[in-house]
Amino acid sequence: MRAPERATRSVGGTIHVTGVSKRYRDRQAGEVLALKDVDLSIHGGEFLALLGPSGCGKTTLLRILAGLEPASTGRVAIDDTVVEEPSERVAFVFQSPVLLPWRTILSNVLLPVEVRGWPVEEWRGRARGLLETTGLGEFVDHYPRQLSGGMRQRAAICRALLTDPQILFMDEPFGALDAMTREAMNEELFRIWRGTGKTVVFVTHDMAEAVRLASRIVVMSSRPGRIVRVVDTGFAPDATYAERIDNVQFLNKLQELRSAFTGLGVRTP
Amino acid sequence: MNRERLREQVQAPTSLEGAKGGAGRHSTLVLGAIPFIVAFGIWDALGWLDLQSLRYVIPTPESVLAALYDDFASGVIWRHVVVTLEELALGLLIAIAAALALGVVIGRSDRLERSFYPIIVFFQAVPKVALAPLWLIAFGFGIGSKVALAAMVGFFPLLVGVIVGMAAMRREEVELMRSLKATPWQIFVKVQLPRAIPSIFGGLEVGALFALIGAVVGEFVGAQAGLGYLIQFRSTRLDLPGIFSPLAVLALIGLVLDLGAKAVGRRLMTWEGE
Repeated sequence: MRAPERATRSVGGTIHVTGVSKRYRDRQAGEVLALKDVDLSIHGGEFLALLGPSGCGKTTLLRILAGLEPASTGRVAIDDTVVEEPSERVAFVFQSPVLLPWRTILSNVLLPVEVRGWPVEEWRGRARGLLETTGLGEFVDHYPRQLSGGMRQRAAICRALLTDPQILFMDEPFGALDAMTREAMNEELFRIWRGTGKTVVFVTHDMAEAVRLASRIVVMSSRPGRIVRVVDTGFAPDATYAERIDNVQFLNKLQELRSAFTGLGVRTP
Repeated sequence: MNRERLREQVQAPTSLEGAKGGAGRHSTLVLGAIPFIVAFGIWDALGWLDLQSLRYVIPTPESVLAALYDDFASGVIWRHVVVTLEELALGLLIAIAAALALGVVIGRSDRLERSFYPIIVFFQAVPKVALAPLWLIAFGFGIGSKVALAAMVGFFPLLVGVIVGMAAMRREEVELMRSLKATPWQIFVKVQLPRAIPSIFGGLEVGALFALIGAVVGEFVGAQAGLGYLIQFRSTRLDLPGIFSPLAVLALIGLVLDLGAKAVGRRLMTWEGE
Protein backbone atom coordinates (compact mmCIF):
# COMPACT_ATOMS: atom_id res chain seq x y z
CA MET A 1 0.00 0.00 0.00
CA ARG A 2 1.30 3.43 -0.89
CA ALA A 3 1.53 6.12 1.73
CA PRO A 4 -0.16 9.43 0.88
CA GLU A 5 3.07 11.29 1.69
CA ARG A 6 4.88 9.68 -1.21
CA ALA A 7 7.25 11.94 -3.10
CA THR A 8 5.38 14.02 -5.65
CA ARG A 9 8.10 14.08 -8.29
CA SER A 10 7.69 10.96 -10.38
CA VAL A 11 10.34 9.18 -12.32
CA GLY A 12 9.74 6.84 -15.22
CA GLY A 13 6.50 7.03 -17.14
CA THR A 14 8.00 6.34 -20.56
CA ILE A 15 5.53 5.07 -23.16
CA HIS A 16 6.49 3.07 -26.24
CA VAL A 17 3.98 2.59 -29.02
CA THR A 18 4.94 0.20 -31.80
CA GLY A 19 2.90 -0.53 -34.90
CA VAL A 20 -0.47 0.15 -33.31
CA SER A 21 -3.50 -0.12 -35.59
CA LYS A 22 -7.14 -0.14 -34.66
CA ARG A 23 -9.99 -1.29 -36.80
CA TYR A 24 -13.56 -1.71 -35.76
CA ARG A 25 -16.86 -2.62 -37.34
CA ASP A 26 -19.37 0.11 -37.95
CA ARG A 27 -22.95 -0.67 -38.86
CA GLN A 28 -23.07 1.87 -41.68
CA ALA A 29 -19.47 2.22 -42.83
CA GLY A 30 -18.49 -1.43 -42.43
CA GLU A 31 -14.87 -1.97 -41.46
CA VAL A 32 -13.21 1.26 -40.35
CA LEU A 33 -9.48 1.70 -39.92
CA ALA A 34 -9.32 4.18 -37.04
CA LEU A 35 -5.57 4.03 -36.53
CA LYS A 36 -2.85 2.90 -38.88
CA ASP A 37 0.70 1.89 -37.95
CA VAL A 38 1.29 4.30 -35.12
CA ASP A 39 4.85 4.36 -33.81
CA LEU A 40 5.60 6.78 -31.02
CA SER A 41 7.87 7.16 -28.02
CA ILE A 42 6.80 9.40 -25.17
CA HIS A 43 9.53 10.29 -22.71
CA GLY A 44 9.03 10.21 -18.97
CA GLY A 45 8.00 13.65 -17.70
CA GLU A 46 7.13 14.91 -21.15
CA PHE A 47 4.04 16.93 -21.99
CA LEU A 48 2.87 15.54 -25.29
CA ALA A 49 -0.11 16.85 -27.25
CA LEU A 50 -2.03 14.71 -29.73
CA LEU A 51 -3.41 17.22 -32.19
CA GLY A 52 -5.71 16.64 -35.13
CA PRO A 53 -9.14 17.19 -36.65
CA SER A 54 -12.10 15.38 -35.16
CA GLY A 55 -12.29 11.77 -36.24
CA CYS A 56 -8.54 11.37 -36.66
CA GLY A 57 -8.35 8.69 -34.00
CA LYS A 58 -6.49 10.74 -31.40
CA THR A 59 -8.97 9.82 -28.67
CA THR A 60 -8.83 6.18 -29.75
CA LEU A 61 -5.05 6.26 -29.51
CA LEU A 62 -5.24 7.79 -26.04
CA ARG A 63 -7.71 5.13 -24.90
CA ILE A 64 -5.42 2.41 -26.18
CA LEU A 65 -2.46 3.96 -24.34
CA ALA A 66 -4.52 4.03 -21.15
CA GLY A 67 -5.61 0.40 -21.56
CA LEU A 68 -9.29 1.34 -21.90
CA GLU A 69 -9.52 -0.47 -25.21
CA PRO A 70 -7.25 -2.95 -26.96
CA ALA A 71 -5.29 -2.27 -30.13
CA SER A 72 -6.06 -4.50 -33.12
CA THR A 73 -2.37 -4.91 -33.84
CA GLY A 74 0.83 -3.60 -32.35
CA ARG A 75 1.82 -3.03 -28.75
CA VAL A 76 1.94 -0.35 -26.10
CA ALA A 77 4.36 -0.54 -23.20
CA ILE A 78 4.78 1.74 -20.22
CA ASP A 79 8.29 1.41 -18.74
CA ASP A 80 8.64 -1.99 -20.42
CA THR A 81 5.34 -3.30 -19.07
CA VAL A 82 2.86 -4.12 -21.83
CA VAL A 83 -0.44 -2.27 -21.41
CA GLU A 84 -3.40 -4.62 -21.38
CA GLU A 85 -5.75 -2.97 -18.93
CA PRO A 86 -5.97 0.28 -16.96
CA SER A 87 -3.08 0.58 -14.53
CA GLU A 88 -2.84 2.16 -11.11
CA ARG A 89 0.13 4.16 -12.33
CA VAL A 90 -1.93 6.15 -14.79
CA ALA A 91 -4.97 8.38 -14.49
CA PHE A 92 -7.48 9.42 -17.13
CA VAL A 93 -9.20 12.78 -17.38
CA PHE A 94 -12.24 12.69 -19.64
CA GLN A 95 -13.82 15.30 -21.87
CA SER A 96 -16.51 15.91 -19.27
CA PRO A 97 -15.63 15.98 -15.57
CA VAL A 98 -17.74 12.85 -14.80
CA LEU A 99 -18.27 13.76 -11.16
CA LEU A 100 -20.88 11.60 -9.47
CA PRO A 101 -23.70 14.04 -8.62
CA TRP A 102 -24.68 12.26 -5.40
CA ARG A 103 -21.23 12.70 -3.91
CA THR A 104 -19.63 15.85 -2.54
CA ILE A 105 -16.58 17.25 -4.28
CA LEU A 106 -14.29 15.78 -1.61
CA SER A 107 -15.91 12.38 -1.82
CA ASN A 108 -15.64 12.48 -5.62
CA VAL A 109 -11.94 13.24 -5.41
CA LEU A 110 -11.49 10.32 -2.99
CA LEU A 111 -13.22 7.86 -5.32
CA PRO A 112 -10.02 6.29 -6.76
CA VAL A 113 -8.75 5.49 -3.26
CA GLU A 114 -12.12 4.07 -2.27
CA VAL A 115 -12.30 1.89 -5.38
CA ARG A 116 -8.81 0.52 -4.69
CA GLY A 117 -9.76 -0.34 -1.15
CA TRP A 118 -7.13 1.92 0.38
CA PRO A 119 -7.90 3.61 3.73
CA VAL A 120 -9.92 6.69 2.73
CA GLU A 121 -9.30 8.44 6.05
CA GLU A 122 -5.57 8.59 5.40
CA TRP A 123 -6.08 10.21 2.02
CA ARG A 124 -8.58 12.84 3.09
CA GLY A 125 -5.85 15.32 3.99
CA ARG A 126 -4.14 15.03 0.61
CA ALA A 127 -7.47 15.37 -1.21
CA ARG A 128 -8.28 18.54 0.72
CA GLY A 129 -4.79 19.85 0.02
CA LEU A 130 -5.16 19.29 -3.74
CA LEU A 131 -8.55 20.99 -3.78
CA GLU A 132 -7.06 23.85 -1.77
CA THR A 133 -4.25 24.44 -4.26
CA THR A 134 -6.69 24.51 -7.17
CA GLY A 135 -8.89 27.07 -5.44
CA LEU A 136 -11.64 24.66 -4.47
CA GLY A 137 -10.82 24.60 -0.76
CA GLU A 138 -14.11 26.20 0.21
CA PHE A 139 -16.15 23.83 -1.89
CA VAL A 140 -15.11 20.43 -0.60
CA ASP A 141 -18.57 19.77 0.85
CA HIS A 142 -20.48 21.17 -2.12
CA TYR A 143 -22.13 18.99 -4.72
CA PRO A 144 -21.00 19.04 -8.36
CA ARG A 145 -24.18 20.78 -9.56
CA GLN A 146 -23.32 23.75 -7.35
CA LEU A 147 -20.05 24.33 -9.23
CA SER A 148 -19.29 25.91 -12.59
CA GLY A 149 -17.96 23.84 -15.48
CA GLY A 150 -14.39 24.99 -14.94
CA MET A 151 -14.50 24.20 -11.23
CA ARG A 152 -15.89 20.73 -11.95
CA GLN A 153 -13.13 19.93 -14.39
CA ARG A 154 -10.63 21.18 -11.84
CA ALA A 155 -12.09 18.76 -9.29
CA ALA A 156 -11.80 15.99 -11.87
CA ILE A 157 -8.12 16.82 -12.28
CA CYS A 158 -7.67 16.69 -8.50
CA ARG A 159 -9.28 13.24 -8.56
CA ALA A 160 -6.79 12.15 -11.22
CA LEU A 161 -3.84 13.57 -9.26
CA LEU A 162 -4.89 12.13 -5.89
CA THR A 163 -3.01 8.85 -6.07
CA ASP A 164 -0.01 10.54 -7.68
CA PRO A 165 0.01 8.63 -10.95
CA GLN A 166 3.11 8.74 -13.13
CA ILE A 167 1.13 9.43 -16.26
CA LEU A 168 -1.90 11.62 -16.90
CA PHE A 169 -4.01 10.89 -19.96
CA MET A 170 -6.25 13.82 -20.82
CA ASP A 171 -8.91 13.64 -23.52
CA GLU A 172 -9.77 17.22 -24.52
CA PRO A 173 -10.37 18.02 -20.86
CA PHE A 174 -11.11 21.70 -21.49
CA GLY A 175 -13.05 21.30 -24.73
CA ALA A 176 -16.38 22.15 -23.13
CA LEU A 177 -15.18 25.29 -21.36
CA ASP A 178 -15.42 28.88 -22.58
CA ALA A 179 -12.25 30.38 -24.03
CA MET A 180 -11.33 32.41 -20.96
CA THR A 181 -11.81 29.62 -18.45
CA ARG A 182 -9.94 27.37 -20.82
CA GLU A 183 -6.85 29.59 -20.83
CA ALA A 184 -6.94 29.83 -17.05
CA MET A 185 -7.14 26.03 -16.86
CA ASN A 186 -4.26 25.72 -19.35
CA GLU A 187 -2.10 27.84 -17.11
CA GLU A 188 -3.06 25.81 -14.07
CA LEU A 189 -2.37 22.49 -15.75
CA PHE A 190 0.96 23.78 -16.96
CA ARG A 191 1.83 24.75 -13.39
CA ILE A 192 0.82 21.31 -12.10
CA TRP A 193 2.85 19.56 -14.76
CA ARG A 194 5.84 21.76 -13.96
CA GLY A 195 5.52 21.07 -10.25
CA THR A 196 5.15 17.31 -10.49
CA GLY A 197 7.13 16.25 -13.53
CA LYS A 198 4.45 13.80 -14.60
CA THR A 199 4.14 12.48 -18.11
CA VAL A 200 1.08 14.10 -19.67
CA VAL A 201 -0.54 12.93 -22.90
CA PHE A 202 -3.07 15.54 -23.90
CA VAL A 203 -5.59 15.23 -26.73
CA THR A 204 -6.83 18.45 -28.29
CA HIS A 205 -7.99 19.91 -31.58
CA ASP A 206 -6.97 23.40 -30.52
CA MET A 207 -3.60 24.32 -32.01
CA ALA A 208 -2.98 27.25 -29.67
CA GLU A 209 -3.73 25.07 -26.65
CA ALA A 210 -1.24 22.51 -27.89
CA VAL A 211 1.49 25.12 -28.38
CA ARG A 212 0.78 26.73 -25.00
CA LEU A 213 1.20 23.47 -23.12
CA ALA A 214 3.18 20.80 -24.90
CA SER A 215 6.85 20.05 -25.28
CA ARG A 216 6.08 18.04 -28.41
CA ILE A 217 3.02 18.03 -30.61
CA VAL A 218 2.03 14.95 -32.56
CA VAL A 219 0.02 15.98 -35.61
CA MET A 220 -2.48 13.37 -36.79
CA SER A 221 -4.57 13.10 -39.92
CA SER A 222 -7.79 11.24 -40.41
CA ARG A 223 -9.02 8.24 -42.37
CA PRO A 224 -7.02 6.31 -41.48
CA GLY A 225 -5.74 8.01 -38.34
CA ARG A 226 -1.98 8.22 -38.51
CA ILE A 227 0.88 10.39 -37.33
CA VAL A 228 1.96 12.77 -40.07
CA ARG A 229 4.36 14.96 -38.17
CA VAL A 230 5.90 15.53 -34.79
CA VAL A 231 6.57 19.18 -33.94
CA ASP A 232 8.95 20.16 -31.18
CA THR A 233 7.74 23.40 -29.58
CA GLY A 234 11.34 24.17 -28.65
CA PHE A 235 10.73 26.46 -25.69
CA ALA A 236 13.46 26.72 -23.08
CA PRO A 237 12.87 23.95 -20.53
CA ASP A 238 12.40 26.45 -17.72
CA ALA A 239 10.21 28.90 -19.68
CA THR A 240 7.21 29.95 -17.65
CA TYR A 241 3.69 29.86 -19.01
CA ALA A 242 3.70 33.65 -19.44
CA GLU A 243 6.99 33.51 -21.30
CA ARG A 244 5.69 30.79 -23.58
CA ILE A 245 2.58 32.61 -24.71
CA ASP A 246 4.21 36.05 -24.97
CA ASN A 247 6.73 35.02 -27.55
CA VAL A 248 7.35 35.21 -31.26
CA GLN A 249 8.13 31.51 -31.10
CA PHE A 250 4.56 30.83 -29.99
CA LEU A 251 3.20 32.49 -33.12
CA ASN A 252 5.80 30.79 -35.32
CA LYS A 253 4.86 27.35 -34.00
CA LEU A 254 1.19 28.13 -34.47
CA GLN A 255 1.92 29.11 -38.05
CA GLU A 256 3.94 25.93 -38.58
CA LEU A 257 1.04 23.81 -37.35
CA ARG A 258 -1.39 25.73 -39.48
CA SER A 259 0.59 25.10 -42.64
CA ALA A 260 0.99 21.45 -41.65
CA PHE A 261 -2.79 21.10 -41.54
CA THR A 262 -3.27 23.08 -44.72
CA GLY A 263 -0.87 20.66 -46.37
CA LEU A 264 -3.15 17.85 -45.21
CA GLY A 265 -6.16 19.53 -46.75
CA VAL A 266 -7.64 20.44 -43.40
CA ARG A 267 -9.03 23.96 -43.36
CA THR A 268 -7.85 26.10 -40.47
CA PRO A 269 -9.31 29.38 -39.30
CA MET B 1 -9.32 32.50 -10.52
CA ASN B 2 -11.14 35.25 -8.65
CA ARG B 3 -12.56 33.98 -5.37
CA GLU B 4 -15.53 36.35 -5.36
CA ARG B 5 -16.59 35.26 -8.82
CA LEU B 6 -16.41 31.62 -7.76
CA ARG B 7 -18.53 32.35 -4.75
CA GLU B 8 -21.20 34.02 -6.86
CA GLN B 9 -21.33 31.10 -9.24
CA VAL B 10 -21.76 28.72 -6.37
CA GLN B 11 -24.36 30.58 -4.45
CA ALA B 12 -26.69 31.43 -7.28
CA PRO B 13 -28.26 27.95 -7.54
CA THR B 14 -28.50 27.42 -3.77
CA SER B 15 -30.41 30.62 -3.15
CA LEU B 16 -32.87 29.74 -5.92
CA GLU B 17 -33.51 26.41 -4.28
CA GLY B 18 -34.15 28.08 -0.96
CA ALA B 19 -36.85 30.25 -2.48
CA LYS B 20 -38.54 27.20 -3.98
CA GLY B 21 -38.51 25.32 -0.68
CA GLY B 22 -40.02 28.16 1.30
CA ALA B 23 -43.04 29.91 -0.18
CA GLY B 24 -43.46 27.21 -2.85
CA ARG B 25 -44.24 24.38 -0.48
CA HIS B 26 -46.85 26.37 1.39
CA SER B 27 -48.79 27.35 -1.67
CA THR B 28 -48.62 23.72 -2.90
CA LEU B 29 -50.38 22.63 0.28
CA VAL B 30 -53.07 25.30 -0.13
CA LEU B 31 -53.49 24.53 -3.83
CA GLY B 32 -53.80 20.83 -3.08
CA ALA B 33 -56.45 21.42 -0.43
CA ILE B 34 -58.81 23.45 -2.62
CA PRO B 35 -60.17 20.56 -4.73
CA PHE B 36 -60.82 18.59 -1.54
CA ILE B 37 -62.87 21.43 -0.10
CA VAL B 38 -64.81 21.90 -3.33
CA ALA B 39 -65.53 18.15 -3.60
CA PHE B 40 -66.65 18.05 -0.01
CA GLY B 41 -68.97 21.00 -0.66
CA ILE B 42 -70.59 19.28 -3.65
CA TRP B 43 -70.96 16.09 -1.65
CA ASP B 44 -72.62 18.00 1.18
CA ALA B 45 -74.92 19.79 -1.29
CA LEU B 46 -76.06 16.43 -2.68
CA GLY B 47 -77.20 15.53 0.81
CA TRP B 48 -79.21 18.73 1.14
CA LEU B 49 -80.88 18.17 -2.23
CA ASP B 50 -81.92 14.72 -1.00
CA LEU B 51 -82.30 13.23 -4.48
CA GLN B 52 -84.37 10.06 -4.57
CA SER B 53 -81.97 8.28 -6.89
CA LEU B 54 -78.94 8.94 -4.71
CA ARG B 55 -80.41 8.21 -1.30
CA TYR B 56 -79.18 4.59 -1.30
CA VAL B 57 -75.89 5.23 -3.13
CA ILE B 58 -74.24 8.19 -1.44
CA PRO B 59 -74.48 8.80 2.29
CA THR B 60 -74.33 12.33 3.68
CA PRO B 61 -70.95 13.62 4.91
CA GLU B 62 -72.37 13.91 8.42
CA SER B 63 -73.36 10.24 8.54
CA VAL B 64 -69.95 9.15 7.26
CA LEU B 65 -68.15 11.29 9.83
CA ALA B 66 -70.42 9.82 12.49
CA ALA B 67 -69.60 6.28 11.30
CA LEU B 68 -65.89 7.07 11.33
CA TYR B 69 -66.21 8.44 14.84
CA ASP B 70 -68.09 5.34 15.99
CA ASP B 71 -65.56 3.00 14.37
CA PHE B 72 -62.62 4.64 16.08
CA ALA B 73 -64.35 5.40 19.42
CA SER B 74 -65.45 1.80 19.79
CA GLY B 75 -62.11 0.57 18.44
CA VAL B 76 -63.90 -1.80 16.03
CA ILE B 77 -61.88 -0.63 13.01
CA TRP B 78 -58.39 -1.00 14.46
CA ARG B 79 -58.25 -4.76 14.09
CA HIS B 80 -59.09 -4.37 10.41
CA VAL B 81 -56.63 -1.55 9.84
CA VAL B 82 -53.86 -3.66 11.36
CA VAL B 83 -54.71 -6.69 9.22
CA THR B 84 -54.79 -4.69 5.98
CA LEU B 85 -51.54 -2.90 6.82
CA GLU B 86 -49.92 -6.23 7.62
CA GLU B 87 -50.99 -7.69 4.27
CA LEU B 88 -49.80 -4.56 2.51
CA ALA B 89 -46.42 -4.46 4.26
CA LEU B 90 -45.66 -8.14 3.72
CA GLY B 91 -46.90 -8.07 0.14
CA LEU B 92 -44.91 -4.97 -0.67
CA LEU B 93 -41.75 -6.36 0.92
CA ILE B 94 -42.00 -9.51 -1.15
CA ALA B 95 -42.70 -7.46 -4.27
CA ILE B 96 -39.71 -5.18 -3.64
CA ALA B 97 -37.32 -8.05 -2.92
CA ALA B 98 -38.46 -10.04 -5.96
CA ALA B 99 -38.45 -7.02 -8.27
CA LEU B 100 -34.94 -5.99 -7.16
CA ALA B 101 -33.55 -9.49 -7.51
CA LEU B 102 -35.10 -10.19 -10.90
CA GLY B 103 -34.82 -6.62 -12.22
CA VAL B 104 -31.11 -6.33 -11.45
CA VAL B 105 -30.38 -9.63 -13.19
CA ILE B 106 -32.48 -8.78 -16.24
CA GLY B 107 -31.43 -5.13 -16.34
CA ARG B 108 -27.73 -5.92 -16.33
CA SER B 109 -27.89 -7.64 -19.68
CA ASP B 110 -29.27 -6.06 -22.80
CA ARG B 111 -30.03 -9.48 -24.26
CA LEU B 112 -31.94 -10.68 -21.18
CA GLU B 113 -33.89 -7.45 -21.14
CA ARG B 114 -34.97 -7.86 -24.74
CA SER B 115 -35.92 -11.49 -24.24
CA PHE B 116 -37.86 -10.87 -21.03
CA TYR B 117 -39.65 -7.73 -22.16
CA PRO B 118 -42.56 -9.43 -24.00
CA ILE B 119 -43.38 -11.78 -21.13
CA ILE B 120 -43.29 -8.92 -18.63
CA VAL B 121 -45.69 -6.92 -20.78
CA PHE B 122 -47.86 -10.02 -21.12
CA PHE B 123 -48.12 -10.54 -17.37
CA GLN B 124 -48.65 -6.86 -16.81
CA ALA B 125 -51.62 -6.97 -19.16
CA VAL B 126 -53.21 -9.87 -17.28
CA PRO B 127 -55.73 -8.43 -14.81
CA LYS B 128 -54.05 -10.01 -11.81
CA VAL B 129 -56.86 -9.22 -9.39
CA ALA B 130 -58.92 -11.65 -11.43
CA LEU B 131 -56.70 -14.37 -10.01
CA ALA B 132 -57.92 -13.58 -6.47
CA PRO B 133 -60.19 -16.64 -6.26
CA LEU B 134 -57.29 -18.85 -7.32
CA TRP B 135 -55.04 -17.40 -4.65
CA LEU B 136 -57.78 -17.97 -2.12
CA ILE B 137 -57.74 -21.67 -2.95
CA ALA B 138 -53.95 -21.79 -2.90
CA PHE B 139 -53.26 -19.76 0.23
CA GLY B 140 -56.48 -19.94 2.22
CA PHE B 141 -58.85 -17.53 3.93
CA GLY B 142 -56.16 -16.08 6.17
CA ILE B 143 -53.68 -13.36 5.47
CA GLY B 144 -51.64 -15.49 3.01
CA SER B 145 -53.85 -15.13 -0.05
CA LYS B 146 -54.02 -11.34 0.39
CA VAL B 147 -50.26 -11.03 0.83
CA ALA B 148 -49.80 -13.08 -2.34
CA LEU B 149 -52.18 -10.90 -4.31
CA ALA B 150 -50.71 -7.65 -2.97
CA ALA B 151 -47.20 -8.87 -3.82
CA MET B 152 -48.19 -9.97 -7.31
CA VAL B 153 -50.03 -6.75 -8.19
CA GLY B 154 -47.32 -4.53 -6.71
CA PHE B 155 -44.49 -6.52 -8.30
CA PHE B 156 -44.81 -5.52 -11.95
CA PRO B 157 -44.58 -1.73 -11.71
CA LEU B 158 -41.62 -2.22 -9.39
CA LEU B 159 -39.94 -4.66 -11.78
CA VAL B 160 -40.32 -2.25 -14.69
CA GLY B 161 -38.92 0.54 -12.50
CA VAL B 162 -35.85 -1.53 -11.61
CA ILE B 163 -35.18 -2.65 -15.20
CA VAL B 164 -35.54 0.87 -16.58
CA GLY B 165 -33.33 2.12 -13.74
CA MET B 166 -30.60 -0.39 -14.56
CA ALA B 167 -30.51 0.99 -18.10
CA ALA B 168 -30.17 4.56 -16.83
CA MET B 169 -26.46 4.12 -16.15
CA ARG B 170 -24.13 6.53 -17.88
CA ARG B 171 -21.43 5.22 -20.17
CA GLU B 172 -18.90 7.81 -19.07
CA GLU B 173 -19.37 6.90 -15.42
CA VAL B 174 -18.74 3.25 -16.17
CA GLU B 175 -15.66 4.29 -18.17
CA LEU B 176 -14.39 6.29 -15.22
CA MET B 177 -14.83 3.29 -12.94
CA ARG B 178 -13.08 1.06 -15.48
CA SER B 179 -10.16 3.48 -15.67
CA LEU B 180 -9.88 3.09 -11.89
CA LYS B 181 -9.86 -0.70 -12.25
CA ALA B 182 -13.17 -1.05 -10.43
CA THR B 183 -14.70 -4.50 -10.13
CA PRO B 184 -18.10 -5.18 -11.75
CA TRP B 185 -19.62 -5.20 -8.26
CA GLN B 186 -18.12 -1.77 -7.48
CA ILE B 187 -19.43 -0.41 -10.77
CA PHE B 188 -22.86 -1.75 -9.89
CA VAL B 189 -22.95 -0.36 -6.34
CA LYS B 190 -21.19 2.95 -6.89
CA VAL B 191 -22.65 4.15 -10.19
CA GLN B 192 -25.34 1.90 -11.60
CA LEU B 193 -27.51 1.58 -8.50
CA PRO B 194 -27.50 5.29 -7.64
CA ARG B 195 -28.54 6.11 -11.21
CA ALA B 196 -31.36 3.55 -10.90
CA ILE B 197 -32.82 5.07 -7.73
CA PRO B 198 -35.15 7.62 -9.38
CA SER B 199 -36.73 5.00 -11.57
CA ILE B 200 -36.95 2.42 -8.76
CA PHE B 201 -38.80 4.94 -6.61
CA GLY B 202 -41.09 5.77 -9.50
CA GLY B 203 -41.93 2.06 -9.58
CA LEU B 204 -42.37 2.02 -5.82
CA GLU B 205 -44.90 4.86 -5.87
CA VAL B 206 -47.10 2.94 -8.30
CA GLY B 207 -46.32 -0.50 -6.85
CA ALA B 208 -47.27 0.49 -3.29
CA LEU B 209 -50.70 1.73 -4.36
CA PHE B 210 -51.21 -1.35 -6.54
CA ALA B 211 -50.32 -3.60 -3.60
CA LEU B 212 -52.95 -1.86 -1.49
CA ILE B 213 -55.54 -2.54 -4.19
CA GLY B 214 -54.39 -6.16 -4.30
CA ALA B 215 -54.82 -6.58 -0.54
CA VAL B 216 -58.31 -5.07 -0.57
CA VAL B 217 -59.51 -7.12 -3.52
CA GLY B 218 -58.15 -10.22 -1.80
CA GLU B 219 -60.23 -9.36 1.22
CA PHE B 220 -63.33 -8.85 -0.92
CA VAL B 221 -63.07 -12.37 -2.26
CA GLY B 222 -62.79 -14.13 1.05
CA ALA B 223 -61.51 -13.00 4.41
CA GLN B 224 -62.28 -12.76 8.10
CA ALA B 225 -60.71 -9.37 8.73
CA GLY B 226 -59.34 -6.29 6.98
CA LEU B 227 -60.74 -3.03 5.68
CA GLY B 228 -61.84 -4.69 2.43
CA TYR B 229 -63.61 -7.38 4.44
CA LEU B 230 -65.33 -4.67 6.51
CA ILE B 231 -66.59 -2.91 3.38
CA GLN B 232 -67.83 -6.19 1.96
CA PHE B 233 -69.54 -7.19 5.22
CA ARG B 234 -71.27 -3.84 5.65
CA SER B 235 -72.43 -3.70 2.04
CA THR B 236 -74.46 -6.88 2.59
CA ARG B 237 -76.30 -4.88 5.28
CA LEU B 238 -76.68 -1.79 3.09
CA ASP B 239 -74.81 0.18 5.74
CA LEU B 240 -73.75 3.05 3.48
CA PRO B 241 -71.93 5.28 6.03
CA GLY B 242 -70.33 2.10 7.39
CA ILE B 243 -68.86 1.37 3.94
CA PHE B 244 -67.51 4.86 3.48
CA SER B 245 -65.71 4.88 6.83
CA PRO B 246 -63.14 2.14 6.01
CA LEU B 247 -62.98 3.56 2.48
CA ALA B 248 -61.81 6.88 3.90
CA VAL B 249 -59.20 5.08 5.99
CA LEU B 250 -57.98 3.23 2.87
CA ALA B 251 -57.71 6.49 0.96
CA LEU B 252 -55.65 7.94 3.79
CA ILE B 253 -53.32 4.90 3.77
CA GLY B 254 -52.87 5.34 0.03
CA LEU B 255 -52.10 9.02 0.40
CA VAL B 256 -49.53 8.37 3.14
CA LEU B 257 -47.91 5.62 1.02
CA ASP B 258 -47.63 7.88 -1.98
CA LEU B 259 -46.28 10.87 -0.07
CA GLY B 260 -43.96 8.61 1.92
CA ALA B 261 -42.41 7.03 -1.17
CA LYS B 262 -42.02 10.49 -2.73
CA ALA B 263 -40.41 11.92 0.40
CA VAL B 264 -37.91 9.08 0.79
CA GLY B 265 -37.14 9.25 -2.93
CA ARG B 266 -36.56 12.99 -2.78
CA ARG B 267 -34.23 12.53 0.17
CA LEU B 268 -32.13 10.04 -1.75
CA MET B 269 -32.14 12.07 -4.94
CA THR B 270 -31.19 15.57 -3.87
CA TRP B 271 -28.76 15.46 -6.75
CA GLU B 272 -31.38 14.87 -9.44
CA GLY B 273 -31.70 17.36 -12.26
CA GLU B 274 -28.05 18.29 -11.97
